[in-house]
Amino acid sequence: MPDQPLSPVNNVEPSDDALFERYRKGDAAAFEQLLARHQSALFGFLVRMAGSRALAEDLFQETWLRVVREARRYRSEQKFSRWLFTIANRLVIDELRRRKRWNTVSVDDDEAAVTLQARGPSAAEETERRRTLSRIEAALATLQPSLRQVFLLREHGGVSFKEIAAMTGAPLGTVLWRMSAALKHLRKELEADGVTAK
Amino acid sequence: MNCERANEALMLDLYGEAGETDAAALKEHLANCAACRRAAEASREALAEFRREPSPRPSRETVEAVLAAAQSRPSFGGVFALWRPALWRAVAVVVIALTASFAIKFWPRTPVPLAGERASVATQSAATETSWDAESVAVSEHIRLAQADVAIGSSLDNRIAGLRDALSELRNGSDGF
Repeated sequence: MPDQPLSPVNNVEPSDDALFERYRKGDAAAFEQLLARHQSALFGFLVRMAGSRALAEDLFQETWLRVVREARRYRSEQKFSRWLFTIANRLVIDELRRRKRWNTVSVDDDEAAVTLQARGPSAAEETERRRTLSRIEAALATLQPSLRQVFLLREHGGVSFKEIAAMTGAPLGTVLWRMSAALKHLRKELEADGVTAK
Repeated sequence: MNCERANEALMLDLYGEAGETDAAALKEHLANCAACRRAAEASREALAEFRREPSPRPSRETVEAVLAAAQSRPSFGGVFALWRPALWRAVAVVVIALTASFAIKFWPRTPVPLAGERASVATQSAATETSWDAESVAVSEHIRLAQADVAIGSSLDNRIAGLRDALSELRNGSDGF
């Protein structure tokens, strides 16, 4: 029997919607797949927004619990990842406001170490990476939260600028300005550290 | 396209969100503006550097806790699916019953008769007449109270008019001096 090329359909991963629909029908494995698909981006968003790994762990759990609890309310016209990040964004902002840290957020010093341990580079590379990472983390931590929010929603959440505008209630022009200001800040910090060309 | 607009278009372009027109205008602007070109290049480098960083991952305990919670309430197709239609039917019955009881209680029982309809009102049942009698007594009482108010008002008006007259006389008298 000659080798048949795989049908394109066989190569396509199930969409988030398809997985979530399967979960709603009781397939726990579909939920696990969905969690594996989004956990890194979601946790990255939460850690960098909250500036604390411990708080991010709590918010990560709470976000998924909301997903489970509100599963019946989910409408497939809405992209799953947008729904997920809308919940996470609301939770982290509420928490920062509650802690009166919405305007002044610091970053945990141990964040860089935690990330580096997972990567396992050589000693020299680790030193260089730690230096760079700390600059990136520091640059993010010193960003005004509304700028950091736009930057992280776009980078980690893959949420489009128009969707961010809808989520935050800010005009599209403001969202684009915030993104530009966030990038400028990041650029400045990295240039000061010699990471990027001046 | 000016530099400010080019900056907005650049943000959209970095994420593939710029339309064809904006992308073309941005390209043209960057070809002629060295400052924006440098800023665009630096933005791309900063983003690339950020993306090289591995994203932190949640602890295994956290992931397991989420999975456990998801498994404890997964079934929208299990037992829940069996009793859910029954639940909605029960809710519908309760809503209909409540609506009906409110309608019966608050539906206008006897419309106020127009002048031409008074003759037919007279033929209504004795019970309705009793109800009308009670209502007419209440209306009469309201009228009596209103008339009393009017009488008090009239009395005050008369008193004020008297005072005005007295004042006028006094003024006239003072003019004489």
